[in-house]
Amino acid sequence: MNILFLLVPFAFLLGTVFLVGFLWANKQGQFDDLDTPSFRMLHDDERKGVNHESEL
Amino acid sequence: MEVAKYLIHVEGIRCASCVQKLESLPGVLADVEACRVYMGESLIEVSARQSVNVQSIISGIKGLGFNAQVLENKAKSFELNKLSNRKNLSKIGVAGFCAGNIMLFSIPIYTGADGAYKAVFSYLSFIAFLPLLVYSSFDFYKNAWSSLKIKSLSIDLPITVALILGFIFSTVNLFTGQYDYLYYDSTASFIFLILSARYVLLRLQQSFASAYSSLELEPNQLIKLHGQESFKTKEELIKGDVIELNKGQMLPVKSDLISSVADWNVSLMTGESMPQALHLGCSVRSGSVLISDRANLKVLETYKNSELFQIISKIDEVKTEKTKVISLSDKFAHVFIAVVFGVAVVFFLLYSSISIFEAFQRSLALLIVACPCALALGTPLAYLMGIYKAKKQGVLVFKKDIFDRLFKIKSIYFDKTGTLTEGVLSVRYLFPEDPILINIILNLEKNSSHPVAIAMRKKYSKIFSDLRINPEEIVGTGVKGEISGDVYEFGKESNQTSIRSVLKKNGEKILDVEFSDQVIQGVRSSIDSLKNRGFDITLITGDNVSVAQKIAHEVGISKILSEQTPLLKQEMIAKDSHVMMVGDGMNDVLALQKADVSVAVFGSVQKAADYCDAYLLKKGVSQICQLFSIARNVRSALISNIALSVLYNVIAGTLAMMGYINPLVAALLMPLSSAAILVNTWRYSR
Repeated sequence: MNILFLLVPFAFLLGTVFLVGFLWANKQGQFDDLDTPSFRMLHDDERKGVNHESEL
Repeated sequence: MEVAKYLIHVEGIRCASCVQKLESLPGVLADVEACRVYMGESLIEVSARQSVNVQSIISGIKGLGFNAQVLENKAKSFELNKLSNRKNLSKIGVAGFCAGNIMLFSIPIYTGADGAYKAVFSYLSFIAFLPLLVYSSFDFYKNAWSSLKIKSLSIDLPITVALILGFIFSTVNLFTGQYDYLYYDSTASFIFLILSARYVLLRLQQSFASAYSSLELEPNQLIKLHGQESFKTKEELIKGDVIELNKGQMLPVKSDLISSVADWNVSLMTGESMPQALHLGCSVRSGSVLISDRANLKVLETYKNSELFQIISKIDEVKTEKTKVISLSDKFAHVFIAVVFGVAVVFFLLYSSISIFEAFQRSLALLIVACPCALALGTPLAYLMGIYKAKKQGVLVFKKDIFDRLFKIKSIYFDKTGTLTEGVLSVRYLFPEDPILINIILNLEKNSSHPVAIAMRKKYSKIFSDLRINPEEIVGTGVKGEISGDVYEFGKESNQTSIRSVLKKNGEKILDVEFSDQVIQGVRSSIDSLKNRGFDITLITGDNVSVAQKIAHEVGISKILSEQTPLLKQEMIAKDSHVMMVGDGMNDVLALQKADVSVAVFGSVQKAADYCDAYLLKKGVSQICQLFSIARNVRSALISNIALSVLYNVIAGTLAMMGYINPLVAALLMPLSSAAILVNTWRYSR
């Protein structure tokens, strides 16, 4: 059972990493618009000046 | 370089190529820096050089084949919404993380970990609960506190009580080593559920808020001074200025006409559908739109004193001071809170003679499990169901408490022009139906934006072939032109309820046409079914008596209020109680603000859409009946949800007082009640 003292903090840490990732993505505005990006990725030609929040 | 951001509403963004076209705007217009599409909201956000004129951006977008409108005042609230949505989502993320981990930590406790392991997992639960308590639940405390301050009980109050009591109770037990009495898991998952439900409801409402086709009031145009090459804004005009208006421009201030007769569209202020021909020396109301080619006017007042400004500023100052209906669930929450706290106190007092410790434990357990989670979840779910259902039927619901307010409605007031009628003239009768003569009329009217010309084009555009004539306007009456030696004249013979025009060849009448503002198809049956439901229906219009009577007769309304100015309309609405107002125009906005429930119809002006509770996406008023049915549906869902939560609370409360509630039972019971609510609401959504 001693393995728990390694596994539990590890699991907790892993969860925290995902949480931080989620919070970061949210702050970048990744969840502001859930409809358009699925269409935007279909563009295949070069576009100039599209305002990606993450580039700001 | 200064960059300005504009929020623009664009109709009809449906596919990948639309997104691509719009986002390639910077390549089309040199002054545009960036462009981002928000499809769900039908909005695009454009960053452009400050110096650039918005109208040029709009025409650029129109050039791409989209109908676009700048939302002047929405840019800021859109930005704020975005930020607050992110904040809420972060809170949900943290709550989800905490709740998930606590549930994992609870499994070993329930499945029989003992000794040090049990202690470790209990402390871990405690630690994982802290961010949820402090960060995610902050809004509950805030709402509970502000509701206490105004001495009303909101649903957030019992949530706060359960949350804090649950925390204190569990933590005291934790530190005294009683690991069997921890409620972290059930409280955390419950908070996560409620936060999520509220977030979804909010996002849904936000996405509607901009999704109507909006007609912006007069963009800030410049007005030309007569005989000079200089321009003034409407605010700069002073008494005595002589101005020149072109076709399609709106007159911002009351002025005297100093050129010859001209046709004016006065529907913005009066709702009157027929254009008015005004002669030299007549004074023209502010808000009138010029239909003829050109007019010279002498300004009589400043913009600040104009009728137009008074109405616009009045609209903006009133905001929404609607009588707030206490929703059914809030009413129930009051009773609920009183009963639960009462029972807990009485039970504590009675049981403390047997064992103070047990009495304390059990009454606290009662307060925690009796947290009205079913209720707190049931209300947003029921509204969500109603809003979705309304959307499916073509009604955008902007304010969720409309469902509660709809229940009190006794009378409905309908605006006429644009609401019950098409709002534009159409051909009602034409004789003889000779394509050659019709083509002559179309040619005579080809440059005109008079409603009669538009009506003719709408009906007969197919048979148009250009005769290459030079029509001449006979202002106030019609048009004339010469075709192979014959002089043709097309002009009106106006009477009150319809416009009759005649085509004359060398002064001799050869064709009759009658135009009218026709009632939208299906309005009569909608009105009939509303009458059958027992509503008192009134037609309220700025138009004259005879037109009002004719339309009222056609749709089957017996009560008529005609020749109402915007302010009079507002007064009439304010006088009556439990009213619904249905309208579309600038002249209805004040009335819409005063009504208990206001509905704007398809094609409404921006201001009307801004202040209404619901917006109809189809022409006509048939969806109003459906709105009432949906309100009934929502109400049944709410009532059955409340019944379920009462049932749950009676069972759980009894068990708690008998001492059978321990964390495991709570962890099973609380989600079970939430699931029951979900299933129950879903039942009504079909």
